[in-house]
Amino acid sequence: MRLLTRTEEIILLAIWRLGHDAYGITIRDEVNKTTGEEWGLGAVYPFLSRLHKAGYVRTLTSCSTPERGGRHKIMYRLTDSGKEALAKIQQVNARAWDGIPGFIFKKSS
Amino acid sequence: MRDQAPPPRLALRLLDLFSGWEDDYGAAGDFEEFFRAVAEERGIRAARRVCWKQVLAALPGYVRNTLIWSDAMLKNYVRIALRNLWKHKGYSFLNIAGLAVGMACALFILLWIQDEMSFDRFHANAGTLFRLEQESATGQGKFRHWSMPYSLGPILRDEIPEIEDAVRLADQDTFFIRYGDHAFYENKVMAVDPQILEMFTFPLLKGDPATALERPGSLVVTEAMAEKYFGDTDPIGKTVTLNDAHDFMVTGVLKNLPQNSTLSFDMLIPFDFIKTIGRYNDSLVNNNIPTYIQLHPGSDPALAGGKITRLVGERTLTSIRADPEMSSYFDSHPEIRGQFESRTFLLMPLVDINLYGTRMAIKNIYTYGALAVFVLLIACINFMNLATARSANRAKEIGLRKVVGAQRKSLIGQFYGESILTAFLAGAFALLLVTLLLPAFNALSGKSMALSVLVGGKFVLGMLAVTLLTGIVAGSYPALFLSAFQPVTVLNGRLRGGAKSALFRKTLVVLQFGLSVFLLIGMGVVSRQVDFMRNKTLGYDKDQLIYLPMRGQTASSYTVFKERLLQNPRVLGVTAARHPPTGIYASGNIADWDGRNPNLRFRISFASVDFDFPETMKIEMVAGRAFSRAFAMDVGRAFMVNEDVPKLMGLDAASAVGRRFAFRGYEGTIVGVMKNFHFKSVREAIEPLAVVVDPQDFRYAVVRIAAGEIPASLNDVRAVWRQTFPLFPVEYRFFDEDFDQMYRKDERMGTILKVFSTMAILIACLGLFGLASYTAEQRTKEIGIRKIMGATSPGIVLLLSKEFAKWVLAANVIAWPVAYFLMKNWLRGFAYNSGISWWLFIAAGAGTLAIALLTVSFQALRVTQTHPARALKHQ
Repeated sequence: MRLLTRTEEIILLAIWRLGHDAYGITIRDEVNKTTGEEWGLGAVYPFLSRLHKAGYVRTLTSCSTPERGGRHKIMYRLTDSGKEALAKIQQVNARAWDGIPGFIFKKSS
Repeated sequence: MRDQAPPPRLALRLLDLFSGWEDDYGAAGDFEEFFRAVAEERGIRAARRVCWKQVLAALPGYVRNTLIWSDAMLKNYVRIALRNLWKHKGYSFLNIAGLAVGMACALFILLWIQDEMSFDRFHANAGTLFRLEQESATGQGKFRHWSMPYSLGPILRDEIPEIEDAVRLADQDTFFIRYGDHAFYENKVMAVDPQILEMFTFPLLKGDPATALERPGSLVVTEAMAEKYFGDTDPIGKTVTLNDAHDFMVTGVLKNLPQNSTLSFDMLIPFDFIKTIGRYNDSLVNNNIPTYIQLHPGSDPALAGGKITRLVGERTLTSIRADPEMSSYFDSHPEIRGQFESRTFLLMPLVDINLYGTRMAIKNIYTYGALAVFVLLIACINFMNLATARSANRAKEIGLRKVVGAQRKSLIGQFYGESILTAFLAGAFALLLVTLLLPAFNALSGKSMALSVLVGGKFVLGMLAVTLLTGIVAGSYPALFLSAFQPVTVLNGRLRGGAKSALFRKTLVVLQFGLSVFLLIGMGVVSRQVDFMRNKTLGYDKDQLIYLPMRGQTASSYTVFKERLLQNPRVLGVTAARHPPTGIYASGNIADWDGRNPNLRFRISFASVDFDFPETMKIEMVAGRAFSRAFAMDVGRAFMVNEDVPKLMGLDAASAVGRRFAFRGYEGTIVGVMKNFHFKSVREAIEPLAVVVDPQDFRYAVVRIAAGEIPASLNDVRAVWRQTFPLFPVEYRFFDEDFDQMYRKDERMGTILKVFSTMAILIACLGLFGLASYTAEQRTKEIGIRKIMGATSPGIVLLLSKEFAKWVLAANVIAWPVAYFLMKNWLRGFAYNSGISWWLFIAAGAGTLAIALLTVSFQALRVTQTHPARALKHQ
């Protein structure tokens, strides 16, 4: 299993955090919150598509609502392999950061 | 919810289009929800703006995403294709060379067609411009022409609501123009209504189009004419004289006319000039000059034509009633009245004149278009042939690809990729060829296309389309056939060519050679027809015969000129005529004679000539006598007719002589019957002709000079001219030159056919060469064994050639009837044709067979030269 990229990781985490309410708009809001950057609304879909193809997320089609112009809402959930991938990247992150003291980020005077 | 307005549809559509996901990820719905939320908060306008911004920001990423993936595939296809091309350099060369030549041919023809189609479309008003034409019933069916009464144009402009404007163009005969020392005859001077410069798009470089032709005595010249007369000086305000009698001042300089204009002139003068010289009349019965009409946009030309027909009909009737002499004439000649009553006016769209008018360019467009398709088809067949022939070699590659999981779709993609790549390589070479050979093609086709047409948008599109089409057509067989191989079969030992693919290849060879044979026969028929016309007995002797235009005051000096010329022993005869003697244009169908059946009417061409006409032209007399000065009545009161006239009168030649005859205002008797001679183009059938002697009306002197001393004789004629007409330059034309002009178009077609059929055969042979070398290679082992068993080289060559010979023969048999019918049809356009002779077919057959066998046996011979031992080790 290949490692997740940082963006994929952030998006997967956002989906997990949103629980039952993960779809395009909420995911983007969540990502914006995490990164502190303003993402375009369209920017999340290529990643969602890639994650979906890789089997890390599954989609659920919810009922259409009037505020969506009668369109379906596609909800995203983590799959088991998605969770696995997150667990793995967490380990990798932990190992990568292991033993790195916090003070290196302080500006040297 | 406060606001129900939907988000911008177009933005969502774009999103759909570029993401290519068909909304599997809910993007469109999300966008809509997002839009509503923003609308709720900041209003609909802001929401729309934000939504658009979001969509546009998302698009580049989507596009990049799609491209990255398809780009990878594309790169793979291109790489494989290049590798394959490189691996089989010989075949690739044959392929690309054949295709390049074929495409270059097709491109040339495309350029030619584009040029023909572009005629008259440069006018800003092209869509609303028409040439007024009329059709009337005559004894020999309907007769359509575009000569109109002088006075008609302004009447139509005032009376018919659909008509915005009408312009009359009086194309006069030759004028003599003098500016200081520069004096020339000009035969493209037109007297026109001043609006011509605004109705048509003939831009003025100098002068104001609104006023340039307003005043009498103003003159508009083309750039070329300005340079001819005034050199580098500013032409505006310069005064020239016309026929040494009328002064004209230059008020405008026209940009040179584009060569794709059917209207053609060098100088324009105001229309009223023809009133000044007394040629104008008010009658609506006489047809004299072309009239062009501009309709209001959206008007129906058929409706306008109907209104014109009615209006002219009424006016003509009124004017006839007002004139007692005329009305009694019409009463006694009901058939003539009927003819005027049957006059129908029609509007011919200006842009159709070149295609469907007398030039009938559309016919050539079809012919040459078919030629282009043929040549390209032959080149494509080459490609298909070579590709299928090699299919056996590639079968393994395909099998392996399939085993490792290639989809049929991607294999098809690969083969198309290869053939399209080859086509584009060939296209590049073709473009190079076209660039290099354009001047040669211009010379061949009589066009003057500049290289700049090669960068026009239309051309680039056409080029891309032709290349892509070629690639797809040429690649479709290998793509669809090869990709269907079963991996197990092909990997389990070699694929044995397959009877099916061999048959397909042979069919293609037959088709290819069939087309070549057809082109060869076509070429033969055309060049024979041209020869036939060139050598046709004209009924007069065209050699050493010249004519000189006489204009203005020159006409009165003709008698002196003739007398002086005849004193010269090198001058064998002198006569004169009203019309250029190689193209008699006047005609009428109101002839009367003693004992005429009142219902009998036919069109007769007419010329007024001088005495000595048949003697000088060397026309034989069938009955009666030629005009003679011994008979006073012969001036204006006697007719000579050609053989057709008595025939149509229902008389034999001898009994027509002495009969009273009246035609075009002349009354008298028929004194002689001339043998039929061609007074018009040899393409046309000889028509009935009547001539009279009328010294008032000579415009051309015809002189026969002695053979063998042409330069000296011409010098003498020039000297006499200078002596008689000291003020005027001498200008003369040879009859045979004029005659050559008549079949130049057909000669050109013959040459083009020659070039293209040569190309076609060359390409076909390239293909055959490749195919033969492939077959020979496939059979190397067989040939080795045969040689060991004692076969001789010639025997083996025969063995290999026999098969191809069979198919080339079959191609001949198929092509012959097709060629026969199509060429028969073509020849029908000529009144006198050479027919199609059987040896043309035999020659085409033998020719193709010889070329094919030569190509094949060359290859076969090479194989037989290999040592049998080496041949057996092959593979």
